[in-house]
Amino acid sequence: MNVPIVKTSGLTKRFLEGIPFFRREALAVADLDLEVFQGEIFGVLGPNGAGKTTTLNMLAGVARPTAGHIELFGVPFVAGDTTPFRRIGYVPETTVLPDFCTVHDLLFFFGALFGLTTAVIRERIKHLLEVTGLTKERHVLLRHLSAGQRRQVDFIQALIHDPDLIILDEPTVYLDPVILGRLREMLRGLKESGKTIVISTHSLMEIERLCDRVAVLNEGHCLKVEGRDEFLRAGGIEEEFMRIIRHGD
Amino acid sequence: MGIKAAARDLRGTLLIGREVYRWATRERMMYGFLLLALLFILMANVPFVVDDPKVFGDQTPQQSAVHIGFVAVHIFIPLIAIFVSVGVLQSFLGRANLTLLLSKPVRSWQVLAGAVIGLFQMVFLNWFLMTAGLWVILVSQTHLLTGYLWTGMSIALVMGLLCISLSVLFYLLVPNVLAGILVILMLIAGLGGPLARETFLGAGASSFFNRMLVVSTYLLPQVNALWGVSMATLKMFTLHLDSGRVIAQTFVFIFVVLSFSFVQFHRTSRF
Repeated sequence: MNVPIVKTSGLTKRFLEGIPFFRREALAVADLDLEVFQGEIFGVLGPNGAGKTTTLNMLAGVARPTAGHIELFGVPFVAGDTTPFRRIGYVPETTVLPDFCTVHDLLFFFGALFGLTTAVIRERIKHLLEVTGLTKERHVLLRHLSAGQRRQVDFIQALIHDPDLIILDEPTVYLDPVILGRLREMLRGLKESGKTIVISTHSLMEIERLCDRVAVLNEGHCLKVEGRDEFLRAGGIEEEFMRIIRHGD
Repeated sequence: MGIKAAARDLRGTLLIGREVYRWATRERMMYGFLLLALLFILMANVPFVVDDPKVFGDQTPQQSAVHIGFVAVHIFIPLIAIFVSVGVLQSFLGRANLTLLLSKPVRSWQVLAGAVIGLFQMVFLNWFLMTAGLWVILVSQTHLLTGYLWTGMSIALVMGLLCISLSVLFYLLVPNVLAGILVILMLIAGLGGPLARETFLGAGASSFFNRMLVVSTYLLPQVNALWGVSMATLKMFTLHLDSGRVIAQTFVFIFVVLSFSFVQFHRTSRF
């Protein structure tokens, strides 16, 4: 766990908000320094509007930082370079999957975007559908899937190219306890195979069960980065989280 | 950039184009417009059945039939291009879908180029079906296998590409249905251009004002005059227009519009 897969320094994001001519700058993420190491599950925790999604969007290359630097896989990330994305799988907070597509067609499209061969894509789809228990839904239109199943498809599309870094933004939304248990097992399996996972969630229970280390964000600032065990020793994740949010570090 | 990387970029762009084409051909609105257009084109049969000079003047039934089909294609191709484009762009370039796409190894220009390619494929499909419909009617009535209809009607494709380009640009500036309405207003402004030119330029306006009016009162009527070019190609009217120059102007206009769109999209896609 010594190789930093993700390293940010002074990462800052400011947005312009409001109507034209009356816009003002809003700070989403301020001066964020993070290090995520290979093979760990790193949790990003914070109340609504803390800057979690913006942070993950910047790590996934979807949002441009206003200031600061990102290093991915030990290489400084340069805007416009799509090479690191080949090793990143991202599950955004919300997705709008095309209703008319079957599960297989959609996953095939994403696999093809990564330049995978047809045989490899088919093999990956088969494997991932088996793991998630969606094999029977392979040729079902997305419009006929439940919200939970669609969320699983979101998850599968991020894993189609067997990425080294998996970024998950609220992946547990809509999932029932059975699917949730399966997802947890899957994430643990990925961790054991050396994958690095960054996960943002509101669920303190998920953080407690899955994460090795946790960063607590509030109003764009990183208040604390600590191991799960330290959180537990301090009286549990929930108590420690509330204390940090109320009183700072 | 090496050839391998360029080929990979091209492949990614075409994949996105194919996906956009699938999104576009799932739009019910497109089928509604296509059905109406085909019904309209079916009326091209009428001049052959009712060969009455009081109704169709001194035109031959063949000319009247081409005229009817020509009007249908040139009304419905822009309508399909504008409204289906805006509908597809709203979902395909919506924030949620864009976030998913841009987290893949594709550049923002590939996403937009794919969208334009997919939409143009959709317009091509509609144009082909409409022209084929008219061609079948003409062949069945005249028993002559002529190709002039296809070359003449190809101008409608240029018109379709222009409408898609304008829809993309306006959608990026005003991301809602208003974009489609703005494109239609722009086309109408182009049609009314010659009148405006007579009115304003004849009144001795300042040179700055003249220059401002160049786009709205000179270029757009020229683009709209493509309809006239097609008419000339179809030997319906004798027009003194340099069709090559007008088509070249239109492609330059499309290039400028798309270039501006790409710059705007690159600026705003990764927020």
